[in-house]
Amino acid sequence: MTSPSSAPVSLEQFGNPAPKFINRMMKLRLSENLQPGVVTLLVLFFCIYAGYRSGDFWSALNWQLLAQPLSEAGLVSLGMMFVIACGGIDLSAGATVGVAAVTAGIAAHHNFPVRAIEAAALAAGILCGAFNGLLIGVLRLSSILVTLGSMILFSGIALALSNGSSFAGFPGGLLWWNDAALFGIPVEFLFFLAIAAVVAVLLRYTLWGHYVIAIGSNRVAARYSGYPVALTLFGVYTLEGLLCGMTGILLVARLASARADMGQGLMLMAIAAVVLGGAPIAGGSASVIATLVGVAAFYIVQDGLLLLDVPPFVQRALTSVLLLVAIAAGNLLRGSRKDLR
Amino acid sequence: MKKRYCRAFASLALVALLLATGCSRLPRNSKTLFVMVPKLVGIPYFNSARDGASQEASRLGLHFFYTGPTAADASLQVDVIAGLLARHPAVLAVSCDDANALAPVLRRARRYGISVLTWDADSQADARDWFVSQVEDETLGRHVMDVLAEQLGGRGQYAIITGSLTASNLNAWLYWMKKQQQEKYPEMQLVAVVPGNDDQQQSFVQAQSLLQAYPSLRGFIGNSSAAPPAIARAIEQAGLSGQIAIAGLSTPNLMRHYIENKTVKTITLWDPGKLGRLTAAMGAMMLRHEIPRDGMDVPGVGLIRVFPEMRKIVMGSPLDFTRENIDQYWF
Repeated sequence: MTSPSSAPVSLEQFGNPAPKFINRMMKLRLSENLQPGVVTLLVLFFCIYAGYRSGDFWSALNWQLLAQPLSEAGLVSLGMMFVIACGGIDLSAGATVGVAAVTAGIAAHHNFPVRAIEAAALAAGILCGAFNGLLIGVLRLSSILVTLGSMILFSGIALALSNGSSFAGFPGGLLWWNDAALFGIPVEFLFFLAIAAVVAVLLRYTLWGHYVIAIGSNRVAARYSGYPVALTLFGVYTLEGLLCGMTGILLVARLASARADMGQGLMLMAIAAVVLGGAPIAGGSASVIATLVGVAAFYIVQDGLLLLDVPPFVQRALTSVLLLVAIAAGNLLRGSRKDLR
Repeated sequence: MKKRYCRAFASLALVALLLATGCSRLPRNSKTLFVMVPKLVGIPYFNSARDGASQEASRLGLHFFYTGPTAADASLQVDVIAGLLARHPAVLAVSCDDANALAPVLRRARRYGISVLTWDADSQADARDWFVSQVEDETLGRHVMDVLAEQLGGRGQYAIITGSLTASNLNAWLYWMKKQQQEKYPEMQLVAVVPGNDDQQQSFVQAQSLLQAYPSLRGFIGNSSAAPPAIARAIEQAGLSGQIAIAGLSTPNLMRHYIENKTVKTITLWDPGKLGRLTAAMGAMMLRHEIPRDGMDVPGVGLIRVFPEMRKIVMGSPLDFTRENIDQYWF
């Protein structure tokens, strides 16, 4: 087998690929993926229904409180979107959040200033992500196996660092993330939107975003085209680690404490949100808007069901019904379009 | 093509409308709404507490609502409570999965004018109005030691298997057990305190090695609900049933088998149903802006103790489960 690097293909040969790629993506987004639309409609109907039945659903307070956990899950989902777009999966996302939270706890325990606490948590997240990226990108190991292992490794590290107990006594400057609001909108949510915008630019307007989609569509072809596969994958997992680190900080601020098991539920939540947005689980396509729709749908429906007095176990079942209905509807609508078959 | 979508969405809208008209609006009973949140839903201990609380709440004219996370996870519990705040309940009663993690959301609830109770497990003192405690550490610890000493006749070697060595509530009980023994049963001798980490298998292994290491051991205390059943199994397997006394804290469901086959005479805990009832009664008192008095008699619960400076009320004495009464309890 000839090594792919022996025949490097310069990108200039094709002209500038980015604008072409943008055109392709725009077409794809508008024509192929109907699922975000379906989900938005379903959620809108649900909102009307919930708003009719419960007088509290449309209160400002409800949406303020809803926005905070949504932002945390949203950050992890954005990272997961890249991972899934390049054909991988990250099972260690939740554990990475735990490591970041515990790191912040240790830093606060040693009376670090607020910025240093945040930096420490972000660094921990980046390190975890880089570890995954190294194994998956450079050593070309399977992402599901690597992250399964690192999930156990990271949660073990977090448990060992915290000795299984919770940290408290964070400085007020860190808790600002939870308390502050601009025109009644929680700062956490604004921060999330800002990050989402940055991520959207990364995905759509940079060469790196182009590489991610190309690798997800066909990794072998990307490699033979001379794309920097290893470096791109390394970047994807490191970015996911960074976003998990941010989530860790926000969670710590909201709970005013840090525990090793903090991000437990977020990993499956993030995968489900990305899939609910209509991204193919095999990779090759991604949209920030679709991911936002997916994660918002989950939290809005969960919150609405709670306000409608639905028992907790039924809530879980109904939320998963939403996921299945949306995926089925999205696929059926797509299938009905002959031009895309 | 477009027409088809329009038709599909129109029919969906119609279904939603029918659903909406078919259901009545939920009443906004926020002035009497009593919301109870356990550490997790679906386990017998909290189901018992729910049943007690809902009975008492309906008797007192409160609207009772019980919900919680489906797993014992502090961040899930916080999300559930945050969602509940939008309903603006009159009273919010929470059994806290993590004292620190729950504090911000409970403080927030108080800022919105919601009366906050903690029950079963406390949060930080400034995050709630009152803590409804099951039983005082001192009473419980001394009582468990009395149960063991009675079976041993006040003499002989005994060992303690606790949960984890860092759990603050277990350590408080342990302290009072040891103190009671030193003060009242000087002829008894504590040979070892070992952790079973709230795990039946680990507690079982610990019990087995203690039995081998101390052949003249005459009694065990299991200081975490996983420990007594594990000790009983170890004693049964060693063929020592009836020769070694067991006391400790566990639930009737875990101990039913060993109490019915007489390996264990008495096991101690409290009645979660009563605890739920007291929590609801306390909630009703808060709505009426009443302050509980020390020694007052709460119907269905009995005399309670009140510590106004700690803003804590205590349900009272622990409950012993024996062959006679274990059939009445299911948790």
